[in-house]
Amino acid sequence: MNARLLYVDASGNSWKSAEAALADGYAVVDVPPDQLGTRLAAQDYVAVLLDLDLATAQGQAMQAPISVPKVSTPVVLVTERARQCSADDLRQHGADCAIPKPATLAQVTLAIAEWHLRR
Amino acid sequence: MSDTLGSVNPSSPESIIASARALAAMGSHHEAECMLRGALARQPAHGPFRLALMGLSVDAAAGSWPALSILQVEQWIRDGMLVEALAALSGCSFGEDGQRWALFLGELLAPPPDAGHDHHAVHQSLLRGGASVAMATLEDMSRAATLSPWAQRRLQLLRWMLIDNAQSATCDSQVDVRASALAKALFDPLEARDLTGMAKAARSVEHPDAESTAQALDRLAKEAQTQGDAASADKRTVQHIGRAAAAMQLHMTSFESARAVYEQMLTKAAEPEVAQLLVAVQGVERVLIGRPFTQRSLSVPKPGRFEDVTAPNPEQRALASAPSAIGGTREGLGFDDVTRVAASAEIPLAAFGDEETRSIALPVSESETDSQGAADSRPPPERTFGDDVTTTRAPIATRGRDVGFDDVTTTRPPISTPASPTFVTEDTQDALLATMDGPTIPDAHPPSPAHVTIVKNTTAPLGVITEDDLAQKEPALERPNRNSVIVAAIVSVGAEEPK
Repeated sequence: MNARLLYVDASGNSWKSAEAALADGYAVVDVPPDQLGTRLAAQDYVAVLLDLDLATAQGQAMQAPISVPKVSTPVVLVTERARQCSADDLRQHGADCAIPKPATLAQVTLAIAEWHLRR
Repeated sequence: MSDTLGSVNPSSPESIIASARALAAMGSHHEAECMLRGALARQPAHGPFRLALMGLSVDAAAGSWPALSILQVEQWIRDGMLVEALAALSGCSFGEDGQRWALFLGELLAPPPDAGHDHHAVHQSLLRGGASVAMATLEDMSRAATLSPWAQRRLQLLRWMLIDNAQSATCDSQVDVRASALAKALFDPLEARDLTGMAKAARSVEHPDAESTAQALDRLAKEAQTQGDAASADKRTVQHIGRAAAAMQLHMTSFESARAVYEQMLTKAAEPEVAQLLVAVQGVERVLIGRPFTQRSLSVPKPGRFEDVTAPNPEQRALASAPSAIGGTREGLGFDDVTRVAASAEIPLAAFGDEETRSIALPVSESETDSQGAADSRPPPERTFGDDVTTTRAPIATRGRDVGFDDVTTTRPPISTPASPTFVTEDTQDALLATMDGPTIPDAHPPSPAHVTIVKNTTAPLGVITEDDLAQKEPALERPNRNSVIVAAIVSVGAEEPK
């Protein structure tokens, strides 16, 4: 049993592929955006992956529940525009860093490793 | 980007910083930052890593950087630089090999599923360059209890990475095949990491060091086998310290690493067997670069080959036979042959136990004024010359009493000039017994000694001179530091008896 990783799939079509890509290192748990706060409070997760379109209103709405209930968990933004993400973009979504979509095992692990090394 | 790093050590800090800048220049800024953070985690006090991290964007844009290669990444993995390797694999495309390594490291460095202390320690070790420590921790855990599937999988990966992968990698030993026929013969089995094969190859060559090299390799092969068997019997694969760790390095024919382990062991305890192994490793290392198996020492010069520079000159001979103030000549005091080794009781300074020239540091402020020559513009020190002499005398006087000197530095009445102290020095210019150099300050103020140097020269004869004599004999002392005072009542042999 690998470490649990919470995957917030705002687009609704990337969770399955992410689960397959990350299976060697993580047990990926899909969660609807509106249940994120509840799930984070109920169990430990090694990270939260936010797969959302930065331009959507749905993505904007997720800012509060992610950053508030579980501050000691790395939050990784998964986006096709990862290289264009500014620090303000990350702060807006309560994320620590951004990785390109689709997420790979190496990139997710690297992002989490960096979060641990920063502490 | 330019060529690859070439002959530069891929694991050096310079290489890592250049690689991070190369990644940033390619647009993989996050990966570049991760690479430097990984390097900093291994060496938290490394300033250049920190500086590179701070100026990553600017520096990366400023120059051209070497291209990353999969060979370099594999070397990092062997060296335990896993975060750096993962960053490179995430930021660059290295084909199928790169994808396999990325999956492997992505799994290995993933956080543990539970927050147990040992699991957390394993993860932290892996992130901070301690792959072998992580493996040892997992080995210990496996002996204590059944490992969870997650931990078992990590242990398998680490065993493969640290042992199997390292043994299958290309050997990076510094062997010079052109150096000698013996080195050339050893190259192929060395590349195959085959100690026994190296021993056979050594015996197949006609070379003065062939047999000794073969015997050393046999010894090392036996050690590697013995330690490996012991580890297997104890259900261990490897230890990260001691002979087992060195044996693992021998398995990989990493003689340099094995030598480092043996040297470290010998600093803690003198173990004859370890010392023998160290000699064997050092011998093989020398042969691989074309040097003799045994370190040759310099030959002893034949008698009469060199001029005897210690023979007394005519002036010294004259002084040796001159009458002394306490009666008789220096011959009677044991100075009949000024170049012989004197007994300790005959040597004034030896009585104090000084083996060599000794410096006594005085307060920093005084030393600074002496060295900077800036005291001219400063007010004179408040303390008196007498205080300084008393301070510097104390340890000398204490020792002097042990050999019968009541107070070896008691101030004596002047001999020639009423206003000047008595100076006692050796007749030879380069044999001052003791000088107290004060800062260059106006003559109206008493000198403030800042440094006392005691020079031991037991064979040169001694004499008494006045300040004027000193000014003539020691112009170098006189001019730059007018207030230099020679304190030498402690050794006034033949002139004045100390009191």
